[in-house]
Amino acid sequence: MTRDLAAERDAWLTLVCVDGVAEGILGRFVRRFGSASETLAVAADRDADRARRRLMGAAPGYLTLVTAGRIRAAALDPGAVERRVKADGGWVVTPLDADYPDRLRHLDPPPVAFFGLGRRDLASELRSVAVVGTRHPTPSGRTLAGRIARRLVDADAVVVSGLAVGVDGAAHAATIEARGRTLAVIGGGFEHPGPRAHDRLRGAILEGGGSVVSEHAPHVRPTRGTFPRRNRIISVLTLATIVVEAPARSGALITARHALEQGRRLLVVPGRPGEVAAAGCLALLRETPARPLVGLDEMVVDLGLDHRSLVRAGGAAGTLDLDGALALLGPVERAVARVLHRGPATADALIAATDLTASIVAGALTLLQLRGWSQPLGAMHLPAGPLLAAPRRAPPRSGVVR
Amino acid sequence: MLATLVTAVISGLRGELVHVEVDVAPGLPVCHIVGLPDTALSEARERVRGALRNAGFVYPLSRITVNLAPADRRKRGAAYDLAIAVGILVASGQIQARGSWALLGELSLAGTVLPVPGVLPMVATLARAGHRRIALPAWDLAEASMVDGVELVGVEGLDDAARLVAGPRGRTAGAAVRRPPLVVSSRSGAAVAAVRPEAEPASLPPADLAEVRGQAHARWALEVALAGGHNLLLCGPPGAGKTLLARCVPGLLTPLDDEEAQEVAVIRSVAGLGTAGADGRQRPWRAPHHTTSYAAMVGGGPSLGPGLVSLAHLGVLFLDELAEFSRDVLDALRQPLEDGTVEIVRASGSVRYPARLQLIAATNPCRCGWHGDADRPCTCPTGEPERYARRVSGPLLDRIDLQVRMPRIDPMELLAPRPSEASDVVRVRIAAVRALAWARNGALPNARLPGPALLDACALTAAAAIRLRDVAQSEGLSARSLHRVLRVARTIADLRGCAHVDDEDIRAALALRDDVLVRRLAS
Repeated sequence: MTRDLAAERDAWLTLVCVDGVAEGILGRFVRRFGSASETLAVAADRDADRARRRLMGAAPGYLTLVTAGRIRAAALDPGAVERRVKADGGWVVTPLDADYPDRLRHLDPPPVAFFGLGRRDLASELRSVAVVGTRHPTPSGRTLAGRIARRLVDADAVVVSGLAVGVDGAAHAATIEARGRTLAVIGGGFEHPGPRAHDRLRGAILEGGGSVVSEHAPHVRPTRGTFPRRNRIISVLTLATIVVEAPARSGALITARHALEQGRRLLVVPGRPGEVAAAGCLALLRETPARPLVGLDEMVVDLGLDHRSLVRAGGAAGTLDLDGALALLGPVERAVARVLHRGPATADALIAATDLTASIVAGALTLLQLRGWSQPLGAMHLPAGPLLAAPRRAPPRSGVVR
Repeated sequence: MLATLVTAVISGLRGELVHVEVDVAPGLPVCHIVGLPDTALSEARERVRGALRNAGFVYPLSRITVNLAPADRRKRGAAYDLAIAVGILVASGQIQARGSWALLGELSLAGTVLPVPGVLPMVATLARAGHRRIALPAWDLAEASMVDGVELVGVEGLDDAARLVAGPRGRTAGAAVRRPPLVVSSRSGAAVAAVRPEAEPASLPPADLAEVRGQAHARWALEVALAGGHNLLLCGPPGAGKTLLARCVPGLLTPLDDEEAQEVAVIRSVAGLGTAGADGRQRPWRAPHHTTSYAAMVGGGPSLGPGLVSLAHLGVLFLDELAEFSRDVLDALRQPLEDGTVEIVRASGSVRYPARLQLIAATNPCRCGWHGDADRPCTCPTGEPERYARRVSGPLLDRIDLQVRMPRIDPMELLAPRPSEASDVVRVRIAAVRALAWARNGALPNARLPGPALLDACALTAAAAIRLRDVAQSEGLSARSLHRVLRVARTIADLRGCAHVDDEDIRAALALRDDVLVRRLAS
């Protein structure tokens, strides 16, 4: 980057991070003053009144006196944004940087700056898939999100989601557990992380080599409007979006529509008609070119991820596959784990399926839970860890149906 | 002329001796009651006058002074009526006192003797003070007869009492002759039953475990809870069978032993509830509605009477819709659950009642009731389930050893049910474990084992000790939670018939200590 370009980039970043400055205003400044650097030079005029007057004159009706004052303050302290990001241990890229994720340029307009914590290269990874869905999934939806994420890790893909509770969280958590790579796109600046319930998950993502990214400067608070806008970034960064469960009015549907508009593939988990949590998914399947997700192996093929897979028995290095996990258990725990592997179950269902006493099943569940292979949710026990491996298929039926 | 009689008053659960002195002297016809009477007692003069006249006696047109000694103690209630009336009869010379009788009872204007609360402790106090002959309302006879070594006579009317005091040959001023027939009919059981205070608040109809479909996990948790005396919280969506399961509790309780029956009878007596069950051995079972007030739960009111926590002493208090109870009421449960007593302090005095109860509670997981259901999504806004859960304070939840999630019942289970064990079968197991624990722990259920004795009683195997240490470290268990896990594990091992607490018992106990309401939503 030449020195002029570097200066222009820094000026750009400084302007972008001023509260109240939107893309439209930036465009007007550049048209009037020639460049972002020139704009800053105007704002830093020795005469404060004249600086504000000229700024407001460039975007009449769009700029308040307060915002003009803020621009002047930022111009007098260039580099403040960069310092703040560094202090938080993060990074920032602008469209002028070489490592600005290419896929972001598919947006119109592309985000003027892109902030992040953790690994910087994940946002540019081509093998990445978004897994999104409702914040209130059913236990089986939650489990399926985990299974999909785990299978994507096996196919060496980055799992992208939005760090919300529900499907997002299940996808992130299963990816980390399988030692995969995951990218969380949040709706505010990274000084205002997502839901409190996910403080721990966020830490785990960063520790596990994942990344938390946002188009907003670190100090920007998430608001009602920032989350739907964030969804366009989730879809554009990935080659495909998978909608796990979405009721009729779900934010995941916004992500899905963005994906289609951006020319990304869209896979939707079909649900039973009439089921609340499936209404949005079914609508997508009926009204858009979305394709149904009919199986985990088919998913990998449909996404074109099948030519490369981490050649290990069922998980990333150091994680256990299903058989290895079952071999570590006693006979009673193994019986419970096998039932749980089929899908979420209540303690009562496990008692009935294994024909063991309530006390024994409770003890086995505690053991699985302590190992992180099961997770309670309400009265349900969800499979986790190695038990999220795809259920084995029944052997194909012989003969051809005529 | 002066007459002195003996009666008693209740203060908390103890009776106190009171001497009633009646002086009938020439002067203007007035009646003074001195000795710090309350309103009910001040009104005694009207009741006594009516009762005397209607029972065929003469109300003396003289200056009547009634002194209740000791004079500095505040006196409440209507239990003195009978003693005052008989005192007036003696003091005015209408009858002659032959024997020394202690008298208890309220009078109606017709001269009928009405039951009074707290007869049992009052009789016990009189007996201790050496008053061996006691006349009391006939309806209270059964209750008072738990006291040994006293001669108790149940009286139905003022004339009975007068005859008793005057002796077989005493003159009773022709009372029986002039008594109007009305009095006789009013004293027949049917007519007077309506006057008797409502003995027992309507309770949930009992059920049998054979009626409960599915819910194997929750049934087991209930068995553990009742066998060890642990507090239990059932949490599940509407229609999961929480209340049905709770209704099975009375049929699973073991009967009270002698000493316990005595304690329960005293509390019931003070509350004016008579004896418990046919033989007084029925373990208390209280299921108040969630609109129950603070005073009703803890005790208090004008007479500082016992509340539900004391009426559930040695028994079970069932709180349905736990989160709907008012915060004050729930927080007031903390002291009884911890110490087994409740102290009520008011300007008018303080009393301490026993309240060693077992708490069984039921709640929905959230406002809409479907949080965590397999198919039906929770319609509460984000954060609402947590807010709902916070209505029950942490310290209270902390005292509930067993917290169990109940799923919605599989419809197939309702349509084609598998046979489930009946209460009779389960009760035998519960009784056996309770007896075993009782003998081993020195008359304590497992839930009340103190810390030091707990480790001895548990006799942990090596594997169990290792498991406990690991879990305590990884989950950051407090000392209190650790003890709670041990107590529950002890009960689970007892149910298995095992003298040692093994790893599987510890793990099973851990499965029952989930924080049901604010359960970690890890993703």
